[in-house]
Amino acid sequence: MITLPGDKKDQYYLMIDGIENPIEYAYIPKPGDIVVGRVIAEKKNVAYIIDIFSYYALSAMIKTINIELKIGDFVLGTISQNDNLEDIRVIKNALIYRVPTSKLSRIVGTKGQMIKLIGQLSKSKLGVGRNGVVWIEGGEISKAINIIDDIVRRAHMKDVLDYIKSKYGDKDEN
Amino acid sequence: MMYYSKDLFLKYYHEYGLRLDGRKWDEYRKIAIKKDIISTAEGSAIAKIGKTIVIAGIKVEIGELFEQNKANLIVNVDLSPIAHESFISGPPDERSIEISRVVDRGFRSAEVLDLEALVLEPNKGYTLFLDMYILDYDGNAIDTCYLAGMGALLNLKIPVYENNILDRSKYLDKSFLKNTVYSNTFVKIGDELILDPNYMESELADASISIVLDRDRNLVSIQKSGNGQLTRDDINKAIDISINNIDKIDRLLIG
Amino acid sequence: MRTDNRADDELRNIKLEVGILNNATGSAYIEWGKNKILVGVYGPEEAPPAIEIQDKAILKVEYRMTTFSSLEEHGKYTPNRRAIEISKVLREALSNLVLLDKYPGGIIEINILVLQAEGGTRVASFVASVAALIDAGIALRDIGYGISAGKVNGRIVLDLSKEEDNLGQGDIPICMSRTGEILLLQLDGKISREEFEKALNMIRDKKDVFVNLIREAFYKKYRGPIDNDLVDII
Repeated sequence: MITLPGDKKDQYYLMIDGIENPIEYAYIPKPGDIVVGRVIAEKKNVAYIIDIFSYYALSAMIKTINIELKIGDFVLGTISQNDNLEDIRVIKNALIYRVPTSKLSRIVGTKGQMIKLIGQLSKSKLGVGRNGVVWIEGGEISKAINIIDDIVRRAHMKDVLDYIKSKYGDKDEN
Repeated sequence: MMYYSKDLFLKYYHEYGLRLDGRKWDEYRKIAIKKDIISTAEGSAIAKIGKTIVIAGIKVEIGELFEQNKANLIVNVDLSPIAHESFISGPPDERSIEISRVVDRGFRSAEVLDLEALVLEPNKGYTLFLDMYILDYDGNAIDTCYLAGMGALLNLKIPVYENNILDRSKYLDKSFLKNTVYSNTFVKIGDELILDPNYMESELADASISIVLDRDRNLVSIQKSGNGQLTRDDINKAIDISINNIDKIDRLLIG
Repeated sequence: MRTDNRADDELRNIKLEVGILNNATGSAYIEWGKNKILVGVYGPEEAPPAIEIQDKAILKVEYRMTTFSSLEEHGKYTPNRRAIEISKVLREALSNLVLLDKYPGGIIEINILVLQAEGGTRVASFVASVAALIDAGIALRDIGYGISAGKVNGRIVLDLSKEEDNLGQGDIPICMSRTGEILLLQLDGKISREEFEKALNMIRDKKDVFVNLIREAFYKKYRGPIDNDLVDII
């Protein structure tokens, strides 16, 4: 059963029965979230402005972060209580892939099982930002992308872990 | 949105011999065309290469001739804001204009349409507006526009002009098509030449080249774009691949 | 009898699909009678400082028609006055449904492209826009729908075809929220007050058609792992 915004009181998003979270959900930044963003501007000696693909950009105060950033860098950071980005590190040598935020939990999986599986199957290192960004470092990157696309398409279905294992695993492993 | 650096692209390519979407250098993405899909147009088609989608429609009017003894063909490509977050509404920018002119050139030089036969009186004739709208953009607008435009021309219907009235319910019974054109676009990233660039590959490209051929394997339009350079070898490889792809594109257009 | 033999309150065939574009955050494609309309939603993104509003998002709606969408002559490349007015009334209608204060300082952009027109494009665009917004995961307080009513042969009818619009005595596009509040209302023609009441009631009674239409579109998207392809469905 699909339910639409307005079907129930205080329901603003599309929901599918049996799935707790909305199946389509535009990211809303929250303090504590770990996100991936792109450096889009610098206020000289004050802050970097980082686009986190939401309705506002975050500032990273130069005094608190201890690294130098360039415009165009992709960074991983944590959203602080006052909406700045802290604990920043640069993501280097990785392919950055945006996915719908509502499907992110399926890409990570319970206790990280799914993201670990993707890494094994494509021999690469993966990470995610709460704002719907996946990065893939090393290994068979295009294979990892295909697997992620497949998971996104099946995010509302059951047994996706087994499906991915059998479809993308090495045949002799089974 | 997908992002990667030129270094990553080249490193991956040198290690696996593949692009980051898993393709070889001379591999096209999946192509689909559907013709005659807009009943308000006098010829229409929708084409898809990978995730890039272009819809083409032709409207026929009557007008004064711009060029002596030739009916008017006006080709325009619209980078609709719906297609990509970087496309904004407003007057066409240089990218949009370049694509429109490159697409126009191929149809014109190959004389795909018998524009002379569409003249009615010494200074009056049919005016054909061939308009293309990019609906979804993932690189290679040019080849997708050529496919959609050619598809639209293949189901072109010319309304009858009688007693100074254009009657859109009656059509001339003959075909005005004299040729077919086939476009192949390549980009150069570092030292690597690749066919049918997706969005990121277009962004990373140092240079690009579009080769347009006609049915007889004549070169009818070439456009090199970008700050980088191409070797003679690059251009020869591009022409060879383009010739080899003619049959495949032809089957999709006619099918 | 109506020119296409429909009953007074009978709507033309409507087909709605969602999630058919790759780049747009949310998208929808509607075929309503012979109308073919594509909608893409981008956002929420950060609004440019010059226009941003501190406590809520800006909704930007652009309604455009392709030059080949009309049965008559070649259209213009730039939006004409009619398109600009339609963009405005659609924006105002949709602003009612989007929870703009969830995205302060942001901007949500709705791009509507009419590929083929046959009467009632603005209400069809409204319905497709609602579906595209849901597809984009943007918070809505409720869904909405719209129908163009009119007066043909002295009777109030629903969902005018282009022919009826040309021959009739009134074109009344109306968009409502599910609970019946009026979001878009225009009248071009001459009708009595009673006739107007009748039109409103007839439109209100069609609510379930659209609730099911939107639900069915999303059910199609999630029924299987097959991607809806615009080239296949157009």
